[in-house]
Amino acid sequence: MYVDTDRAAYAPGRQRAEPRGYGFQLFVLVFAGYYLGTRIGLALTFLPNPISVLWPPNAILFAALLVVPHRLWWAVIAAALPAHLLAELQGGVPIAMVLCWFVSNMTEALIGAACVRLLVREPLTFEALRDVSAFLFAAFVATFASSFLDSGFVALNHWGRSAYWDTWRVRLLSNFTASLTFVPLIVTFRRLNLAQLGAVKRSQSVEAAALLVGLLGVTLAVFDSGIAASVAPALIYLPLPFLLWAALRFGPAGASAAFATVAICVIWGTGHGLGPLGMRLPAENALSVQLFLIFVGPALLCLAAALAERARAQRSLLLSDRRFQLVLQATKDSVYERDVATDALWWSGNGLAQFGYAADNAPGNFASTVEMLHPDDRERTIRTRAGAVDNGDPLWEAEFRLRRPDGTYAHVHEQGLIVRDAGRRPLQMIATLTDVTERHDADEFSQRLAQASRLTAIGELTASIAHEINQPMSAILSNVDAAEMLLDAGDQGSSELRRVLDDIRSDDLRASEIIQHIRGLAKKRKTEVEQFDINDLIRAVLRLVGPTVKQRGVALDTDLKRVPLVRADRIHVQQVLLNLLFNGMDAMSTTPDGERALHITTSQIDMMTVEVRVRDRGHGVPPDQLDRIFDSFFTTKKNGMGLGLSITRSLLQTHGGAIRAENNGDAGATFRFTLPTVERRGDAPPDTPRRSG
Amino acid sequence: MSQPVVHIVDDDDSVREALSRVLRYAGFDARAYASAVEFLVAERDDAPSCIVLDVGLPGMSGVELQAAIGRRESTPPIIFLTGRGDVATSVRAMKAGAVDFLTKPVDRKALLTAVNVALACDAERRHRRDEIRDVRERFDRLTSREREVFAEVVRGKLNKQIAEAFGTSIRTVKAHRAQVMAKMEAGSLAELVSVAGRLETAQRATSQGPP
Repeated sequence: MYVDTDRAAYAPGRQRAEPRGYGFQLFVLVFAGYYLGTRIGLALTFLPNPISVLWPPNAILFAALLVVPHRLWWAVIAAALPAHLLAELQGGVPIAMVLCWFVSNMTEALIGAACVRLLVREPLTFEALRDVSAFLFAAFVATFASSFLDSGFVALNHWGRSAYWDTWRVRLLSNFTASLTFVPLIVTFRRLNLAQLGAVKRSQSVEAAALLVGLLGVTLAVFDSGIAASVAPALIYLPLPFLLWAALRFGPAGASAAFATVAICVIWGTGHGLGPLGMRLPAENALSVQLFLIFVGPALLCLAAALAERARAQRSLLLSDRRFQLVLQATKDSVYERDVATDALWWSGNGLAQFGYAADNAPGNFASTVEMLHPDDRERTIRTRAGAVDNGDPLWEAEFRLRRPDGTYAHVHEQGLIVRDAGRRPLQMIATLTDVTERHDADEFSQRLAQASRLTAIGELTASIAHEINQPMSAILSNVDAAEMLLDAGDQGSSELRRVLDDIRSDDLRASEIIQHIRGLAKKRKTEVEQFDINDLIRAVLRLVGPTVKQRGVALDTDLKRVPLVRADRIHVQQVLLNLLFNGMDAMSTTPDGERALHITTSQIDMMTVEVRVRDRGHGVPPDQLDRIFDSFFTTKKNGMGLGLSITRSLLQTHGGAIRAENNGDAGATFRFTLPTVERRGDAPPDTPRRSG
Repeated sequence: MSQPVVHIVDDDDSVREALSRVLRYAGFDARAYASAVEFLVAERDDAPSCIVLDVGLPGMSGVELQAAIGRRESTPPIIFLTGRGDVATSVRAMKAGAVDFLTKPVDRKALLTAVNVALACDAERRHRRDEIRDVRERFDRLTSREREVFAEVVRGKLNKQIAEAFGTSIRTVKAHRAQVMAKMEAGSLAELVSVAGRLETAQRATSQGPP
């Protein structure tokens, strides 16, 4: 119930501009704090011996350095100096001693603040155990080190009659106690802002008041009155419940305020010879009080910090759970969680509602989900899921068709995570089901369209294909004849006969390769991205198109430069080339016989891009149509569908490529398309090709 | 006598090799060329031969090669091979004197039949050519006066008429006539006339190019 300000607001690099008058306020506050601290320190001195139990000014300085940005540390020191002089010179101390003390006090505050800054990158909040331990360490190191200096100064100035080590010990304890008492108080209260305090509920104010009354009552009764003298020393634990109450309900700020209250009451009472700790000599009493506070303070701060940490963790868990619920509500996706041991399924709120099932009617185990899959997809899906579990994969993905209540099927993308124990044994499978039916249908359509355009290209290639297949067939027939002749001549399996048979085999393979190639073009297929040399592909396409090109009386020449491998689907790129070649040839149907020519070049644009140009000498493109020729159903041909170039562009875009057309200076047009090289990974990653619309 | 030579011109390695094999096993001296140019620059001896020529050669096509070598005196007969039954090309090729026009794939029987026909044509062509060469050699031995007498004799003129026409004595004409008969190796007037006929054909062929 403590008030938490946003840590991020204090993050380094996000400097807050100080409001106007901040410097003056700082000066006044530090001056007043330091001066008052000195007066309190003097007031809490155990008379008649001049031993201060608690020396607050150093702690106030330390706290001030912690709460101001370190570029303003000089201002803090500048404000402290006059306060120091004013307070000390009143006591009649020689000026040299006063200045020496200022130096040792400065040293302590600076060491402490620097130490904290080194250990904790963010501003100190006391809301984490790390903060508390860093602070305790810094405070101890600072007082420990500066006390040597201080005792040295005292000896140097011949001030007082104490021995060096006595001075050192007294100063160490009193300054450390002061740091414990005041630094957490100042730092935590500085972080509270008035707006938040204004929003405190009435019940909280009442509780705080009750706590204060209880704490003060108990502490004053035990330490500042004669009541407890008879039943000491067990009564010193009486304030403990209230301190715990403060830590539990009011966080680090409440705990440090309660602790400071107790500290001052205890010191004041003990200094006056009251309470369980005030029954011996002043020096012994002072030591008791300091040890008491040094034991209680850190424990209390740690407790408050631990509670704060816990509350924060709980809150963030709650928040992330709420966020998760919100995400689940926002998406239509179904989420399930499966216990691997029991096969029990838990579904997110919507269940399978996105597929038309009642939200509370989701299957209770994997076996029943399998029954909802399309029979053709069952085995594959089971294999995928089981494979991921068995192979130790952290993730799996599957695509399948899921039956809707009306008997139709939805295309579903399943994406899952496998939670494992330390021994890598699977515990849970968590997965989302996304309805990708629409996307699937769109893909299917574009695939059909691409296939249709390939079939058209194949139709135009008939002469070429016949020739390409006829050659090996022809060689095979002759070789069979040759083998027969060898056998007729009494050959019994000579090496010559074997060579003939080998040739028959390789020609047969060659023919079937060509058939495969054509079948590849004809088939409806999914995108398969691979790396290949674009020049090899161009040569293969030209071999296929060559006879057709010749038949149409077109001269073909190429200028293929060495270029990096590209990343795309081979069949798609072949299709692009075929489309452009036929497009060029069609454009030249009215060009005189000797002038028809196609010129194909490849070149590297940059590390990540390869360009292919197809240049014809046809009628060119009317300039006002240059930017429309890639649109669907736009055509300049008498009997064209107007899909060739639009499919060409969409195929290239699928692979992160682009195409444009321009008219040549002399005659015809040049089509230039680009493809990404293997260097470029950004926009077309290998595993997830972008889908074409 | 050495084996008849079959020249095979085809750009497809497997087809070329397979055809060579069949022809080699059939007892021919098969010689393979990957292009028209390779065939043109190759040295060819004067053996009985024919050419198996692919129509669709890259660069200079089969028909273009036919046109190029057809002008030479000693062109062996050509058998064309084609991948597709292209009627226009085959008509053009046949008109240009091709012996046969075969469609791939071509089986052994058709190929060997065509080759044998082509070689028979070649034999005939060579025989005719040898004869013509022989007659011409004999003719070359005649003096100019003897040639004049030869021309008149085969035109059926009598010695007397020839003597009158040239303004010489009949005896002189007789002597020339005997020389012509001896040099042209003709036993009778009829033989001499037939030799003259062949000579005329050869001369026409030389002056006008191939048919």
